[in-house]
Amino acid sequence: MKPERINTVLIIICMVLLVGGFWYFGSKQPKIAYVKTAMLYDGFDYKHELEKKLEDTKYQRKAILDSILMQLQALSEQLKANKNNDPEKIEKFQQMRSQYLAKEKQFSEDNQALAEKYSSDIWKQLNQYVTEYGHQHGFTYIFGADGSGALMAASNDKDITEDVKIFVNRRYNGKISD
Amino acid sequence: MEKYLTDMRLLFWILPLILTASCRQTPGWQDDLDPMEYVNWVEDMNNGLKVSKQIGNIRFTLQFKPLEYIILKENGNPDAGKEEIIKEMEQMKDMQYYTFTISADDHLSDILKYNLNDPADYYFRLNYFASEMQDDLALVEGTDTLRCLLFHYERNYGLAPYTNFLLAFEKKENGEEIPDRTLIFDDGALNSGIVKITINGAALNRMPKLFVTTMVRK
Repeated sequence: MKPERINTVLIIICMVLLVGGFWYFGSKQPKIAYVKTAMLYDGFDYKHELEKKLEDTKYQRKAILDSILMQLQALSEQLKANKNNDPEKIEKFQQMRSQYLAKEKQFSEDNQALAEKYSSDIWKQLNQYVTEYGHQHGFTYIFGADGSGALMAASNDKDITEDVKIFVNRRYNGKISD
Repeated sequence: MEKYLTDMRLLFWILPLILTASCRQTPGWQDDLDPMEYVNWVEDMNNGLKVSKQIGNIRFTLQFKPLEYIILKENGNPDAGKEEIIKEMEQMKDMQYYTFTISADDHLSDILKYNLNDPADYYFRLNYFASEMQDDLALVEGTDTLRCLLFHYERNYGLAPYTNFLLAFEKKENGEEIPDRTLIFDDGALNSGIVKITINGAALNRMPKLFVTTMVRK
């Protein structure tokens, strides 16, 4: 074989090895992306539904409190108007005021607990769907950029928030595939 | 010449048979299926009448059950009493039926016992599954939200790592195209939140027919 041909063959082999090497090691690189968690959370349909549900519950509870408050105010006006008040009326007023304060405290605690439960439910489903997105699209890692400093800098082309948002909403609404 | 004519006559009868048989075996061709094939088709997750969704470790599976499927599963042999089958289908035709299954991936016993924080939770769940859960189920079909009209909790006493709930909703008249059907379960016992599972309208529209039933209907 002529030396020129040997050189050509060697160059081709080197090129093939080089391309193969790049391909092999390239494919072994972890696929990484990130999502802006606040945006994802805010754009999640389930969050909007539970937010509305929480507001409705709070509104109903406030209506109960307002009703007691109105009765309390009416009783208070009566007590103010009469100088010689019936001790029974005074006791009734005090009982009602205690009842109002107890209910207000209870509702405030219940609202807080409900908000925490809803938040936990939302994150549970969000994490599930992001995990499924990662598996279906071959991601090794999907980081959450939440502004806490866990992810200090990342290129915009690694931001998959919009795609993930569409995916999680489809999954939440019952669709099984993309 | 006579032999040629005999061969031609034979071909005249055999050719349609071959064509019919080949059509039935073409993948994706939704022809009438025999009972066994029909049951397998309905239960095959690739065909879209059975869908599943996981939230945390809890898996929710929804199986839509066409009337033919229910009768086949109940009767075993659909040829046994065709009139009875027609009668049964007539009785059931105003509703749509589903089996809703709940299981946990890392739990091989009754879902009632899954991740119990307190022994009282067991009885709370039992009571919830037996009665209250029905109010937390709805089916969205097109623009209609349907209440769960029939509900049955199949208690298995720990014999299976899953729990089945048999559900039935009113059947809507949809014209030619059946829309997506989404089951909404507002979970009140297992902390999964609101669970939505959709049976795709496309899957419902391309359901095969049951060969035996087709004969019966004629």
